[in-house]
This record gives sequence, C-alpha cells and structure tokens, in this order.
Amino acid sequence: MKLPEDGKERAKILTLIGLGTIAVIYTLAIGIVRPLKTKRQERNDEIAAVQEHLQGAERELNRMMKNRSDNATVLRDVIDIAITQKCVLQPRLGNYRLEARDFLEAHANTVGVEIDTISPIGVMQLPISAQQVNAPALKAYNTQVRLIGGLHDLVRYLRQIENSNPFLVVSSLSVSAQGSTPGKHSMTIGLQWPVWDDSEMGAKLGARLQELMEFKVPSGRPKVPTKEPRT
Amino acid sequence: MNLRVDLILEDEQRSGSLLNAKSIIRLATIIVPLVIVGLLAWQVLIVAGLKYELNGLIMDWEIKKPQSEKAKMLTEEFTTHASILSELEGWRRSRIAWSDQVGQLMLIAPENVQLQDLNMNQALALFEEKMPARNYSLSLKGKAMGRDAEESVRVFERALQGAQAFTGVVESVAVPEYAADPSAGADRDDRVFQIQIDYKVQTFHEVTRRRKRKS
Repeated sequence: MKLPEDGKERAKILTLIGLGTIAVIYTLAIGIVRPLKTKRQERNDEIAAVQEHLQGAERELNRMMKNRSDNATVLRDVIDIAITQKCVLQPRLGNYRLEARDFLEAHANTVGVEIDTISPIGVMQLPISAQQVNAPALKAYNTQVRLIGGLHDLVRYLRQIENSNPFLVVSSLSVSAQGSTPGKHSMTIGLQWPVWDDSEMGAKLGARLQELMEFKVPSGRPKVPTKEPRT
Repeated sequence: MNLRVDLILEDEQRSGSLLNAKSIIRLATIIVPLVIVGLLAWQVLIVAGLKYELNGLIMDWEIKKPQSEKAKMLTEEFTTHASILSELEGWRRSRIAWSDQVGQLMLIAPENVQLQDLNMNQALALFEEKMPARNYSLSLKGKAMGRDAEESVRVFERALQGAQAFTGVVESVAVPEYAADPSAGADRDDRVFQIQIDYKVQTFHEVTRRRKRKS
C-alpha cells in the first residue's frame, strides 16, 4: 500500500498508524503483560513459601536425632524418679492407701517407731495458673500418720521417710505434750505424695521410652532446592 | 560551453543509500512485532517454568511432610516430657525437710524452755498468680522457767532466725504471746510464750531473687 502523495493526508494516516500502534501496545501491556507479571509474582511467592516450609522441615529433620535422644533422656529421668525409685505413689487397683501404708509402716519398723493410726485423706489438685498451657501431670495424695513417742522418734522417722523419698512432702505437723507421760507425745504428721493425674501415665511413659529406643530417623530424604526464586 | 542533461526527473530522483526512512519503517513493521511477540513468549515461558518448579517443590513437600510432622511431634513431646520432669522436680524443690527443722529446734531450745505444742501447716497457693508454691508456717507454744525466762525466749527467738537449718528458709519470727504462767504450781517467774515462724514461699520452679517475696 502506498501512502498518499498529499502531505496532509500522509500525516493523518501516519498519526492514525501511530495511535493504532500505541493502542495495540497498551492492550498488550494491560491484557497480557500485566497478568503475566502478576502470575509470575504469585508463583515466586508460592515457591518462596514452599521453600520456607521445606527448609523448616529440613531443620526439624536435622534436629530429629538430637530431639529423640533428649526426649529419651528426659523420659528415662522421669521413669527413674517415678517408677524405679517409687517416688510417685502408684495405685494398687486404683487405691493408693495400701501402697502408702506399706511405705509408712516399713520405715516405722526400720527406725523402731510405733504408728498409732494411718488415715487416708485423699487426692487433691495443685493450684493452676491461668497462664499454664499444659494441665498438671501430677496431683497430691494426702494421708495422716499418728505416732506416739518422743521428739527424737519423730525426727528419726521424718528423716527416714524424707531421705527415702525426696519428693514426699510433710504438709502438716502437730506435736502436743501429754501431761501424764512427759517423754511421750501425741504426734500427727500430714504427708503429701505426688501421684499421676492419669493413673496409666507410668505405663504410657515406659512404652514411649521403649518406642523411642527403637526409633530410627528416616533416610533418603529429598534435597531441598536452595536457589532463589526467579524475579 | 557546458551541457547538462537530466536523465532522471527531479520527482523521480531517489537516495542511493540502503538506509532510508521507508526501509527503516518497513523493517520496523516486521521487527517490532517480532520483538514484542518474542518478549511475550519469553514471559509465558518464565511463568510456565515457575509453575514447573513449584510443582516439583510441592512434590518434595508432599514426601517430606509426614517426616517433618513426625519430627515436630517429637519436639512437642520433648517439651511435654520436660515439663513433667520439671513438675516432678518442683515437688522436691518446694518441700522443706522437717526432720532438719525439728531436729534443730531440739538443739537450739534453751535448757529452761519446755516446748508443749508444735504446729506446722502448709498451704498450697499460686505465687504471683503464676506458679504453685508452698507456704509453711510454724507455731511453737511452751514454757520458760525461772528468772531468765524472758532472756531465754529472746535467745530462742534469735536462734530460730540464725541457726543453720533456718537461715535459708525462715522469713520472719515473732513472739505474739508472752505472759505469766497461769498453771497451778507455776513459779512467779515462769512464763508461757508462743513463737510464730513464717517461712519463705517455696515455689515449685525457680524465680529470680528480685521477684521472690512473700505472697
């Protein structure tokens, strides 16, 4: 196609061509380039997010072996205190009374102190703060022991039970002199044992420790790409 | 005489150069759209490449996710077990060894002081509304005999603050009651007294010294 000879006509046509070109370029920019750019940004964001997840996962997996070992160490300590050393009172058929009585009588026999009565009081919850995230794993089992004897007997008995269970708490103590027998007093000791909130806890912890000992860190993990997302 | 012959008319004259406006415009009408189309194709390819890369990463994540969740569970479990151990240790930490306290009482009581009644109580409470703690208090009632009765009660009171078993745990010692012994047969110098001992709050977990005060 030839441009017209007339200068004015030619200028008009050239202006129209120019405007048409600008319109086409604008349409391309709005209709294709901008959505493409948005899409590219979205993809880059998604890639960055997935990479972050993958790197987080990689860090977790790298720590897994250490976590397993730390977990086993802590569990072993808990089991050692609670079960092996019998510092947490275990129920017998759902009852703590017999276990507590055996403990108290055995130590009274060891130091030669005479127990008058043992009165179970029951289980109570420890105070919980509003900020506490986990419910307490332990509750307190209370019992009361009445002894007849001198202060020396009381001290020996207290030392014996406190040394044999460093988690047993003397929660009350009452000593009253008896006028008729000056060397013998009426003595009442309140005792508080830690007991599991969930009575199956001991068994559960033992089973979990066993699992952890047999646990293996998975191998053949895919490599995390570390390259930067394209811009 | 010079002779000039124009073989080409003026309006028929053209530039001999290969580059002229017309040829550039012609070239541009081909090249510019090509470049634009090329650029667009390149952008499309980049987006497609990113999608491919993203799919690959998502596949990696799908493989790694269960392992990662297991690892995360192990971390959470460790926190739970550590909290159980800490709770357990709290029992040991918060108790006062009463064998030591009563044993020391017997050692420091002056000879002319006779203890008649000993009462210790423990109350479980929240320290600063944050952590469980044990509040212990001890009340002693007794008789002090003879002329040195008052001095003996003072010595006993001081000893209750200064003796080894008490120094770290006792918060305050007070004598709320001191009077003449009303019992029949008592000497005029004999006195009855009561000593009240409040212990420092025994928290289940460690708190900084600055924060630790009697609640």
